[in-house]
Formats: sequence, C-alpha cells, structure tokens
Amino acid sequence: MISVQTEDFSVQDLYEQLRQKDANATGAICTFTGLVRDFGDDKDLQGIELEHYPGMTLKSLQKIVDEAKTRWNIIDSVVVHRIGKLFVSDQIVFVGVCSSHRADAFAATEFIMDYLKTSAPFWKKELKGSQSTWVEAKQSDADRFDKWK
Amino acid sequence: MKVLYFASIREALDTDHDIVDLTDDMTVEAVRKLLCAKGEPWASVLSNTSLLAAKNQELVSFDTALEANDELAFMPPVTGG
Repeated sequence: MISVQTEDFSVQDLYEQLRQKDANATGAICTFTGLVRDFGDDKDLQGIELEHYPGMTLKSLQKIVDEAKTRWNIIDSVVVHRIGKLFVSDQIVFVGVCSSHRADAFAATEFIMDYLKTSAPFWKKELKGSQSTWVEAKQSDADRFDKWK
Repeated sequence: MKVLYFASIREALDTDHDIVDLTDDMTVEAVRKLLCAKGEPWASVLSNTSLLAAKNQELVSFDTALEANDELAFMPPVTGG
C-alpha cells in the first residue's frame, strides 16, 4: 500500500496491515518512521511545509517499492508520506516491510527510505516566524543511496 | 508543450509553468536552453547544475527526446522523507 496524504497516520494500524499479509509466511516486520525535528541552531522552527508533484509522487514511490521487491524477498510493504503543513515532532513518513526473514526486511526498509530521500518528488520548506526557507538536499543522502547501486 | 515548475524554482520564476513551442527532435536540454533565452530569472534559475527534469512524471536525463504531448517538469533536488 502506498499513500501520499495530509492526514497523520497510526504506526500501530499500518503495522497491523503488514501483520495480516500472509500471516503464515511472515517471520519479520521492519518499520521506519520519520519525524519533523528542529534542526536549526536558533530553535525557533515552527514547522515545515511539504510540497509534492501530484501524480509523480505515487509513481515514484511505486517504482521504489517495485525495485525493492526485485532485490529482496518481500511479502508486502507499506509506504505513507505526508504533505502540507507539519509541526516539530509530527510524523512525516512511514515505511514498513514484511518478509519471511529479518535480513530482507531490514535491508528493504532502509533501501526504500534511502531511495525515497533522493528521488521521490517532495520538497520541504522550513517555517520560522514570518520567514520560510527551502531545505537543501544533502550530499549525505546521495552518498547513502550510492551504496545501494 | 507545458513545462511545470516546483518548489524553489517555481518561487524564483514566480510561475508554476511555462508554455513552449516544441519543434521536432527537441530534447529536455533544448527546452531548458529555450527558456534560459527568455533572460532573467530563467537564465539563472534553469542554469543551476543540480536542476532535475521529469518527463511524464519520471526523472530523466537532459538528453532525453520529447514529443508534443509529453509532460515536462523542472525541479530542484528532492528533500522528502
């Protein structure tokens, strides 16, 4: 399941969705949740605004999940990414993978996140008082994805 | 052909799209150059080496050929997740 949405999500509900997929074969469920953090020095970050390219976001996330399925033995996956205005400590993104074995579940979850960070068309804008600044892409994210190539 | 802009590029150009007349055998790079020829702010904004392009909602290299009914978008490096 892939969703791009403004609404918050429940990690427990998404975990239960994964748990119900092929219950006999699933031996491992790995999940990741990304949150909004205050990464500035001045600590006056109010929140962020997440823009996206409607249509391409779903296609891009599907492509990422499909690639993960060719590399590892995955029973199913869930990816949820929020858009719109979010505040510090809000949930932004969820990636969950169920598999027979933990190696595949761990690796696929990390891969999906690393790939998403460098190719899914979302853009974050920091909101501080009356000012807003676009977050710059990090070389470290590109480097992390390089290791999967 | 409609060219879409997103995020900081959209803000810098003060528009979310432009329309270009596509000629035969035009590539993404050719469209970029055509838009840069409009002068500022296109010339600076679209000359950024980290610019990304998407054709029909898939990231492509700048030497990709285009057809009249393709959807083209220029965007900054992504920062989701």
